[in-house]
Amino acid sequence: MTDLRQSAYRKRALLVLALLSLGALGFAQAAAAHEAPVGASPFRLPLVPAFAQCTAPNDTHMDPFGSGSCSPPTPLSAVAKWGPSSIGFVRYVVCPIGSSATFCTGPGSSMPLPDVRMTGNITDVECAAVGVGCPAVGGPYDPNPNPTQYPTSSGTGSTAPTPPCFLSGSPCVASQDMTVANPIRATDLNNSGPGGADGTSRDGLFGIGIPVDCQSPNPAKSYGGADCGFNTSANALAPGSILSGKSQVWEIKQVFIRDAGPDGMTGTGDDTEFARTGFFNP
Amino acid sequence: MTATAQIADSAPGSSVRITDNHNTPSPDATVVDFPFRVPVDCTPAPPAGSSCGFNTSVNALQPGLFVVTGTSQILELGEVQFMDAGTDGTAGTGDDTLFAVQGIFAP
Repeated sequence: MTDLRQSAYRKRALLVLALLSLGALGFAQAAAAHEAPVGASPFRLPLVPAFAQCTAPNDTHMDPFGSGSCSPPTPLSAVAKWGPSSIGFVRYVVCPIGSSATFCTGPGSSMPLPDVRMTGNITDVECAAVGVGCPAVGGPYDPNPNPTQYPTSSGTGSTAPTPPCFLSGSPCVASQDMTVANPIRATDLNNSGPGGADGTSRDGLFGIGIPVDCQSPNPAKSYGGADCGFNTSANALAPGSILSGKSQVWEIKQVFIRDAGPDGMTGTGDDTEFARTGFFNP
Repeated sequence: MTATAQIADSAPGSSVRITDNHNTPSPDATVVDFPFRVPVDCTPAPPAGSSCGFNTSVNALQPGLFVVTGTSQILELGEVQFMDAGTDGTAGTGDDTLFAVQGIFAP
């Protein structure tokens, strides 16, 4: 009798083990369904002014190009311009569950994990023309009159404004003056289907883009322009966009910062590119 | 492989848009977008796969591109991409395809 019970127990144990193995295999297959790196973070790029493409050259660049060029250069933005003390960056950091990185869990951070923290800043942004929120050329560019959402600091060009905005919904757009537009192609295990099917989304902007707030430098600095920046997260802007166990690959196309256009309101169709990723060689 | 970049609003293969004051007869100008390619070397990395990379400089690849100082060069760089060598195994022969692009990964 004892032998029979032991035999039945062994069979059940083997069955459970086999089912667990199959389950683990299934999970492994799902997790490895699309190619993915071991890790890809942080994503940090410097920003430079965005100029119009040269399509009808009237000038020639010195060697080694010897190629056509367009003079004078035409900034794409007609409402905002880079001041003499401008410097800028964008930085995205993946913060998985269990992350111990200070940037993900530091003091003052109430960002639930997992998430992707998104920060950026451009200093000394000036008005390029008189218009909405710009009474004088060279003054601080801040077309949205609402109080800043980053009252502690306006950022430094290498650090983001503070405090961070991790609340879902409207707070992060309350004083939006510019927009980060970086088309994303997402491949993950979070598509329709049992257990989350493997798929690639259509290319698109991340939600409505990342809202950028411009304000007079805080603390006060020596230049006359505004500091424009953001300090938020993917899940604050698009709740549920970052999940665990979904093997999320985000191809990030060229990053643009768009101004608010002549009407001073972002997203109304007249916004133009103010900054792009690149380098500066003085 | 080849490392390159693609400017979003430019012709395929356009990697870089340079604006500086090193033109003639008018010094300050934006150059016609042009390609910039960095050769990438892959070496087998046992027990599996290869390790692909590069370690060079702009002026090593295109002498003079960044030699001149004081020209206030603004270099707008498109989406960074790695192209494979295509089916013929030779980089730059027209059959290369996109292998990797800039981005992030959330496990």
